[in-house]
Amino acid sequence: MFKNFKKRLHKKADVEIQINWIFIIIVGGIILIFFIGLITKQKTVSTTKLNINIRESLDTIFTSSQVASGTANLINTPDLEVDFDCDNYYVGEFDSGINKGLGQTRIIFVPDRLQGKQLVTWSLEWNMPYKIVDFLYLIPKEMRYIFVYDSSTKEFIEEIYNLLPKDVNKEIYEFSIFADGTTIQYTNSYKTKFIAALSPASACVNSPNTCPIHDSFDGKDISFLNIIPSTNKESGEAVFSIYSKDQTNNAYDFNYARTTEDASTFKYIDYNPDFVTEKRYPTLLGAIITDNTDIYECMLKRALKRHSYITSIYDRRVQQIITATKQDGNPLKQRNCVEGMYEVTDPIQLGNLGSCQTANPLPCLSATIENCKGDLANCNPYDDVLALVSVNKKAQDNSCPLIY
Amino acid sequence: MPKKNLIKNKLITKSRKAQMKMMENVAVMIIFFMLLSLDIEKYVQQQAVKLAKVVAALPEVRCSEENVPVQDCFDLLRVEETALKTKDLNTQRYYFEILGYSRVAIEEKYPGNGIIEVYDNQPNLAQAASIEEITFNYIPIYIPITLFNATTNQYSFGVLEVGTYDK
Repeated sequence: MFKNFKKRLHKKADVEIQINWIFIIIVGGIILIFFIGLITKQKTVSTTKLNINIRESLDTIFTSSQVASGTANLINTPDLEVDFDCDNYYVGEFDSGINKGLGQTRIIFVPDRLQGKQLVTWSLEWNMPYKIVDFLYLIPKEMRYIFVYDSSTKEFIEEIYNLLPKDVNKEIYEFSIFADGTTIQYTNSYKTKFIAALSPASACVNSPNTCPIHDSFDGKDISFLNIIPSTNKESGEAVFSIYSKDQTNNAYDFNYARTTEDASTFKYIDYNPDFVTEKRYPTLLGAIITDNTDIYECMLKRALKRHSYITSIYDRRVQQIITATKQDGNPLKQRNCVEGMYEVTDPIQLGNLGSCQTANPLPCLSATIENCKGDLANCNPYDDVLALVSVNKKAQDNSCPLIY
Repeated sequence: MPKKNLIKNKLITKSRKAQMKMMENVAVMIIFFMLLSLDIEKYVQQQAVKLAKVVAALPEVRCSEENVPVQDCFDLLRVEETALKTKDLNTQRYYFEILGYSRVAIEEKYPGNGIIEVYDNQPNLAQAASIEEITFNYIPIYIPITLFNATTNQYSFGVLEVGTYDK
């Protein structure tokens, strides 16, 4: 009987020990889950905090660019991961990150993704021919810009290369070095952009897929921009291509960023008077810095919209000046600042303004810019701009109020 | 009797001590709120300075000669046109993105006398009041400027008033 009792006690103890273990496992699991949850929550909170800090830093950069143009700064940032499109930017992951609108007034040329711990911020005025807006350029230090020139475009490409701030990760090569396909190799940059102005005789101008490139670039984020300057070099075309896998032969090649060459070709519209040596080619530099056709097109249209606003203000102002010149006793009339002072007299320039049927170049420029907003490919405001420059010079020579 | 007095005295001392502590707390609170209001005022003024810089750089209003900006000079005709534009429903939204909830006004002081309200956008108080009592700080800054009138080719003295509406 005593033996049986002992056996029963043993069994009871065994069960109790097992229950203890089960209890330990359950409670331990709950405690473990609690702490894992706490850590995950903390991680999410700190990531969100970091993203908010980055967003605030970017906002400060955007605001300051409206005030000080022509300045370039190298900024140390937390490990950035910011995606841009025309209207918004996203800090962190798409699904869990923070997104914020860029608004309709900010004109920012930036690659579609910013990555890394250093960022070059740079701003330049866009004048057409008067100041319209300050462009902001955001250039990640870890993005590589490779300039390629041939004998006919050496001077032009070197000028563009030297215009970029010194902190930008940039290199320059002669076409033969680029064409050998071995010298330039992948160097761990998260993005690489080739910028070339090649004469029509060069390979890869008519078909970018004939551009030779080292195998180490395969599968990487590579883009190619071919610049076709017009004779005055102030305007021209920029053809965007990207390095992507060709489905037919499974090989990596440069292909147009949009389906066709025409769709991937965009104008750049700059006014660079001879006396301006530093702040030149703002829209072309925009095309160089961004690797996304949508961002470039959108920002250019935004700049043209702003041009319309400012031109309408300047136009109304000139109308008021002209009205004043017709009033007896007005000091302007006494100084011979009459209506004709604000009109084009040069027959060639007058002929160029023919389509808008006025000798006053401001309404003509206004109309041209309106057309540009709808048809960027055929945008050519230079005749109106040059006429306006000559009229402004005439007003200055005669000590009359200037247009700009 | 002396024992009763002792207890009474002790009670009076205790109550005085409590009063002192209360006073101390109230003083700390008053100083805290004073510092807070000073800080808010400083912040609001900082915002106004930032905005003044933005306004001065706007090609819509600044004076220029051969596209070179003239420091602290505003073109009267451009200012008048911009004032119309900022009130236009089509362009109101555009200028709101640049200037936010703020007021920008230019006052001619000499030789003439007049004020042009270039921009004024106050937060919708009527809507906010139904949710909670909200008041907005408006502490403007004043910057002396020159005004150029192109129709007479003359300059005058004026003041630029810039202030933001902050909660």
